Amino acid sequence: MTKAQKIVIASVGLILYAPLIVVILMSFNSSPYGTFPFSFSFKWYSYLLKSEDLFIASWRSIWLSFIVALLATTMGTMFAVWRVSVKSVIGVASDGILLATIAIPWLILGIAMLQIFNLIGIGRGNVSAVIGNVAVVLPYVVFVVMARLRGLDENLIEAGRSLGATQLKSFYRITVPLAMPSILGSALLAFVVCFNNFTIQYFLLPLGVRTLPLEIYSQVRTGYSPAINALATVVLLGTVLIALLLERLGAGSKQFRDRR
Amino acid sequence: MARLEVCNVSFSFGDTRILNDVSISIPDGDFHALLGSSGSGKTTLLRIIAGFLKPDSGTILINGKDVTNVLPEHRDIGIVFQQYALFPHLTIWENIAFGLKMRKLHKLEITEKVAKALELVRLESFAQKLPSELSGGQKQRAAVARALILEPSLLLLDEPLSALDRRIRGELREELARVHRQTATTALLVTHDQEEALVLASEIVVIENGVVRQSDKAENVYGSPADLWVAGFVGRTNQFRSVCKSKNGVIVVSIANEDFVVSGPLAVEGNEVVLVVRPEEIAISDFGIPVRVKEIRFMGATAQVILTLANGYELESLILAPVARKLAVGIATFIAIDSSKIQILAFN
Amino acid sequence: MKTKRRWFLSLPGFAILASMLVIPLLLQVATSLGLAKNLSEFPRADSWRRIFESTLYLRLLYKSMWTGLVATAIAILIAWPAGWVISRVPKGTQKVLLGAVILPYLVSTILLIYGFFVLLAGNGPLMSMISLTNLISADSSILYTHTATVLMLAYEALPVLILVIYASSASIDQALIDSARSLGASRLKRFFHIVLPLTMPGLVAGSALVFVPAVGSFVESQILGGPNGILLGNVISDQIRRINDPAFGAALSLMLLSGVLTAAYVFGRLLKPLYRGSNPA
Repeated sequence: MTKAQKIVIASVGLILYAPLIVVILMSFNSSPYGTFPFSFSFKWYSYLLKSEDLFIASWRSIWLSFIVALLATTMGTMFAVWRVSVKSVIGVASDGILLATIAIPWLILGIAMLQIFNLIGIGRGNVSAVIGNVAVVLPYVVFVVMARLRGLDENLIEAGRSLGATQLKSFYRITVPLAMPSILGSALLAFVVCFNNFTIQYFLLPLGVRTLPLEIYSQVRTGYSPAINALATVVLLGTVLIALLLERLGAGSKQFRDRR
Repeated sequence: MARLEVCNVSFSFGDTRILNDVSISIPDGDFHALLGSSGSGKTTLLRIIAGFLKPDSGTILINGKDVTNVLPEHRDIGIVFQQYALFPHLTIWENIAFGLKMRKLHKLEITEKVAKALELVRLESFAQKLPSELSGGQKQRAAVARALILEPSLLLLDEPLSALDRRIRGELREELARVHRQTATTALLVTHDQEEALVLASEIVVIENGVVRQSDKAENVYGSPADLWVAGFVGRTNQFRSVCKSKNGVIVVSIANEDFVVSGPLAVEGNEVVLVVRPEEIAISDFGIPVRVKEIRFMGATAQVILTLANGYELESLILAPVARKLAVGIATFIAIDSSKIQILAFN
Repeated sequence: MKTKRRWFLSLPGFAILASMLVIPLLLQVATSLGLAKNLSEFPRADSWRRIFESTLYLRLLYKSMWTGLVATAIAILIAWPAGWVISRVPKGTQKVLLGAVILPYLVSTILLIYGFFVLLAGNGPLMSMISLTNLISADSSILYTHTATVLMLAYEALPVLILVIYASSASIDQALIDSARSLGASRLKRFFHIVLPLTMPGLVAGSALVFVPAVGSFVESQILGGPNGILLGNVISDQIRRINDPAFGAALSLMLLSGVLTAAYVFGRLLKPLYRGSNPA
């Protein structure tokens, strides 16, 4: 790397990580107002452990995201499989709708969804939140899986068929296994997008029922909350660990595959 | 037009030594080739000459001026890349004009020069097209025009024909030769194709594992290779081991119990040598060394004939198709070898 | 499985999209005309009249779009060199860097907003450091200003833009840059004549992806923006959560949507000529 490249990366890295570094730093600062002078302390972490609200909210987020990811991945994969076999203009139209879902601000979508739930009588609720989140997350899954399906070498399918596999068999034994990494990846993506989706949950969950983003929001509204610093640090650490773990697993399985 | 001198250039990437004390010299206006297989270091050397890499030691001199520390954009070198590297978002006209635009030439001057360049490579009707609309051969011609329009001191060609179909390759080879004759630019062609090197260059530098194996006129590299490796790299070979003997005042070697008179620095009594005979120097005749025809492969105008000697050793000969048609698999015939065409190499 | 019989696979997807996107948005039109509760009533244009009665809401729309534009522009300035540099380093380093870019955003946006909050707070770490230069007192801060919102939105736009610019940049063969160098192009010229035109399509796509959410944002302005930082998103969200005037909310929402779509269209047309030939065959 040239010197100029190093400077660019260092500066952008600083910008990207500045808020996080501050948060992590302050999580160890015993000052309840986030001000200097700095005195080291673990007290916010013990406060965090005692905070029931955050635990309940975290659990709700995980559970919600899990269900949403499951539904969205299933529906999305099916949709993608259908989409790649479509040659008519319907395909383009469906692409457009999916793009619109990603492109339209979640604020507008959230309000519109709330309206329709109100109209059919369900209103705000856990079910509404699930359906709404699935709808918003769906395009991500579809595009990821679609891209992978399109990228699959057609020769592989043809080879399978020349060796005697029917269309259905080819699908299950060749297409699906090859697309599986992308499907799993899109499931993970769906989970993450839903987990962090404040807006839709803000409008569709019943008042008082809070997922993690909503819980943090309500605590932050009242001003500086040191326990949030501790939480953020923990979440970041957890994310890094999971990412490293996945990397290790991915690398491990690749080695295994290559050796065969 | 200028002299190029590469003096004692060495380069390592991490622990691997890619170039080891390499020296090359190209006089003004000459067309030389750097011939080597992949991994030989030829591309690295090209990049060092162009300025994209800095050698660990050694210098690059253009017309006597040390340019080793000069940036590529200031080196007055034209480069033709393997994949053409035409700017996809500019028309052919704009591509060719690019260098002139960088030099801030006047618009009228640019128009004039670009027109001449398009004429030189015969792409006048493609001026307003985008690179994606051109065939491989046309793209390469555009790349050549773009490099030459700046009248550089040195033209570097990085395997310019390897991305093209065989048929087009031949046509473009002639184009390159013609363009070189017209512009008389000092040029260095980097390639792994010995045919290309032999056709286009007046002198060939054979490089392998970062070391120069032979640097000589093209016909010498083919006719008097420095060693067995070079002999095998630049063409096909039939190899025989023999010991030089003195007979009636001359030195002879023997192939299949026939004696051939040889001369040269290695033709010394008692020397163990390797004899190389090119397939095209083995002629089918009515007398000489007895052989049996094993296989005939027609390749259009020529034919490759595999012959076996009495002791079972196989020879490869290259003859004209009409001659081959008189042969049949299994028949016995004779071959004659012109002793002046036997290449003598050291046995090591 | 015959291709023809696959259509039923698309049903769940279409069902959800239709019911969560198409119908609701159409419904919003009805809602904005006061038809929410009772479809037999006559449409009333009260909400729309309110919007155009004063310039207030139009000015808010303008402010929100301008905010989105500035935030996107700031993000581009940072993301472009970053995305380009990442595409030029060795492959192994690329993966690490890309991972590092995405990492902060796997953490909830709310936490990032909070991080900004802490960063910018008066007497907090940033201000304490800057006050050392004796130019500004440690008490002051840009927290609770519109600038803070803009910076936050720019920050949120970074990963998408960096990734997208990286993707376009990676597809630019190094040989093109080398070739430009051999033709005498300086670093600046190489950027303007080669890098810029060829990464433009990716940039435009990425900009659209970050501009739209920025215009529709409300949390950032609510937490960081202070009294002068109110955006259209805040007003809309208030209509639903606090004030409970869904008709007005719907009307404002549709106004925002049309504003965004118009901007996207105009933007796209303006940049069309720059697309020339940048898709290598």
